Amino acid sequence: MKYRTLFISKDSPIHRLNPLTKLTVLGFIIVSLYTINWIHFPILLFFIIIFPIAFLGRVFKEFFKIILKVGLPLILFVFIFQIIFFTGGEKVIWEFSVVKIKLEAIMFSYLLGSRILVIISSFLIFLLTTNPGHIMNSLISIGFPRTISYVILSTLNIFPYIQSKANSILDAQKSRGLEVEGNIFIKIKSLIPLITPLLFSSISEVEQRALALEVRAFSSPYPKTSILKIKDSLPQKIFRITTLLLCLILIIYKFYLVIF
Amino acid sequence: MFFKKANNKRDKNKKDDSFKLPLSAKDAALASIVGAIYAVLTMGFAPISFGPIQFRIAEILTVLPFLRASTAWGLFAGCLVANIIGGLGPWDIILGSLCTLIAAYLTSKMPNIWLAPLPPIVVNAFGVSSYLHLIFGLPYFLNVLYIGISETIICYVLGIPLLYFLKKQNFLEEYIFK
Amino acid sequence: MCIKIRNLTYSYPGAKKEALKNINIDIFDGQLCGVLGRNLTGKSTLCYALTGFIPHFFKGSIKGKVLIDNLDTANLPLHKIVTKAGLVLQNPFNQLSGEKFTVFEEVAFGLENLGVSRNEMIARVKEILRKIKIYDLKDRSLYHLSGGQQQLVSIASVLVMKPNILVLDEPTSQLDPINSKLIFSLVKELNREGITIIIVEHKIEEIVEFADRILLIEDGEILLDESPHEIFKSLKKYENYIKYMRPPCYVELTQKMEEEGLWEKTNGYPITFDQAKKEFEV
Repeated sequence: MKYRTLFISKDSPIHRLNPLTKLTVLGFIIVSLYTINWIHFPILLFFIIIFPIAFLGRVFKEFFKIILKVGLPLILFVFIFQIIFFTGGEKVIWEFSVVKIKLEAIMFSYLLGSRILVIISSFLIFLLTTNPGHIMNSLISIGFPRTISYVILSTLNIFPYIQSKANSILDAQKSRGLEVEGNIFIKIKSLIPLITPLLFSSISEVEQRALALEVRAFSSPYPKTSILKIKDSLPQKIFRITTLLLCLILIIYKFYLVIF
Repeated sequence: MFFKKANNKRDKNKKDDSFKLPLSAKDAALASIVGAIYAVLTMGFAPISFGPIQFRIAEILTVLPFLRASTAWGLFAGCLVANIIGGLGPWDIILGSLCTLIAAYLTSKMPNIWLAPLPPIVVNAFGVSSYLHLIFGLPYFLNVLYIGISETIICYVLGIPLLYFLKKQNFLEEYIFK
Repeated sequence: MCIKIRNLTYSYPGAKKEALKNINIDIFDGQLCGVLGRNLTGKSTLCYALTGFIPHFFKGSIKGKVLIDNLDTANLPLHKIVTKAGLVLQNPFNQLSGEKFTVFEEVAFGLENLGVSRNEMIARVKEILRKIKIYDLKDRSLYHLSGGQQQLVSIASVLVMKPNILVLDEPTSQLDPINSKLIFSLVKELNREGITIIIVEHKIEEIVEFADRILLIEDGEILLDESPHEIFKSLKKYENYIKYMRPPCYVELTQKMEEEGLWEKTNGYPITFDQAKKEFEV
């Protein structure tokens, strides 16, 4: 469960915040990344705001591990890609054989890479500190459709079951001589004998699940209530509104700069 | 024998309203199973399912909305969940899943079987390349080409036979939606 | 509160054979009815009819009607029927809603759908968890429970909607013996508190322990509708039905002993362990 939903249940100031507040902050971070043109802004945002929040949320260890595993390879990829393919710019600062590393390319990669870092890390902290059920609940309160939130959460929960089913189908096929290990082409060839049994055996279960849902009044027309109580407070509401206004101002400012 | 023309067109008599919200219990249950299968297939064929250079086998399921529109929501959920478990960036989690949803909805509206795999190819090629270009600075048209080709292989070469087979078996009508 | 089925004939969509043929039964308040029969003879279909899923969930051709509390199920919407009659199925995992993570939230799922207020929900969930004795599981993750525990959670999530009738379709067939015993004792307890129970099972020894009434279904028809004691009173009575149901092992044993001259029938064959014990006490 820990690896699956990323959520780590702890008690921290960040955990206690309303999910909508956290989402608003996320939105603000993304808007500010793309409206403020200062090249050092993203990296400063990372060290001054994101790092401390990871500490406050008591998820720093896991946060750091995932950033290293996922974030860094991505950023490295961007750097190498841009260095090779960056068009334009003239100030070559290093050269070996055909590869010309231009200053502009490095600056561009730096900006891009640090933006990616900020986006990944802020989203990661959000997922690490917020219960998925609570996220869906808050989204429903602002209009997200309830049946779709059901589909998302149950996909998450049924995933391990379908995974073990797929494994047993593969085992059964293996015992009949189907090759499943090996290179990617062998894996693809094992696809069709896997998908059709998986689809067909899941179908009878769909009927049972639908029955069970109806037994629990899934299609009732009454407005749904929730057993979860998501904490919210007036300061948080005010904070959200001001942050959204700030985002709006930044967006208008950006348009203003672009047009004039 | 395999490509019987008679099965090609969508049955005009049965109108498929299953995309509309709120979903019925049967459609919701179906969507969550489809989503889970999509997520399992994506994770099973990791790591090629992820990254800026993707070859996502699970996309073979994008033909399903042709049979029943509610599976489009399942694909949306499956893409969302797979991207979260796979530890991807929020762009793939939100924008990638939206692309999958839009493509799946369009597939459900396609009039015949040969057009059904087209929306995932078009929407993913142009849509995903857009945000990859904006965020990673990857060259737009190169990506369109690359994603277009990989989606075409998965959705047409693998997807159409699957769709034909399922349609011949009356896949969903037989078991649930009489 | 009772169920009346009048002339019910039903066939599934596209099926040529009728799944239920002209069923007529009355089930009274507080009865515990065991339903026996071979596989695919209409037991599950009967369960669906008793809880309104035929006609609302399974379309098909229906003749006749089912009345719960003198209300025709065809005219009541499903979400109203489930507060009168609940249904528990075989597979514990497939009955989990899928949306919730902990036991407490899962049991509340039905009440959320019915729009019950949060305070009342919490009170009712706590009450049901205590009644079924799974209160200590309330914060556990659903997907780390055993099959038996999951089945108890399913029963709780149905009972929390306060139906007076509970229909169980082979609730223990996927469980091990210990968990099966748990479910059976729970069913007995619930019936003692007044809930009308209709339970489909193959474990006949367990059923005859507490069933007031046994229905034997074969080929969509009700062949037998009597109390267990009546059915197994004499060999002549039940030997016609051996093809369709296995008698309790005590009946088989004493019948064989009677053949060998080792035992004499005075009061019918013993159908429960306690009755058998009495027979052999000196």
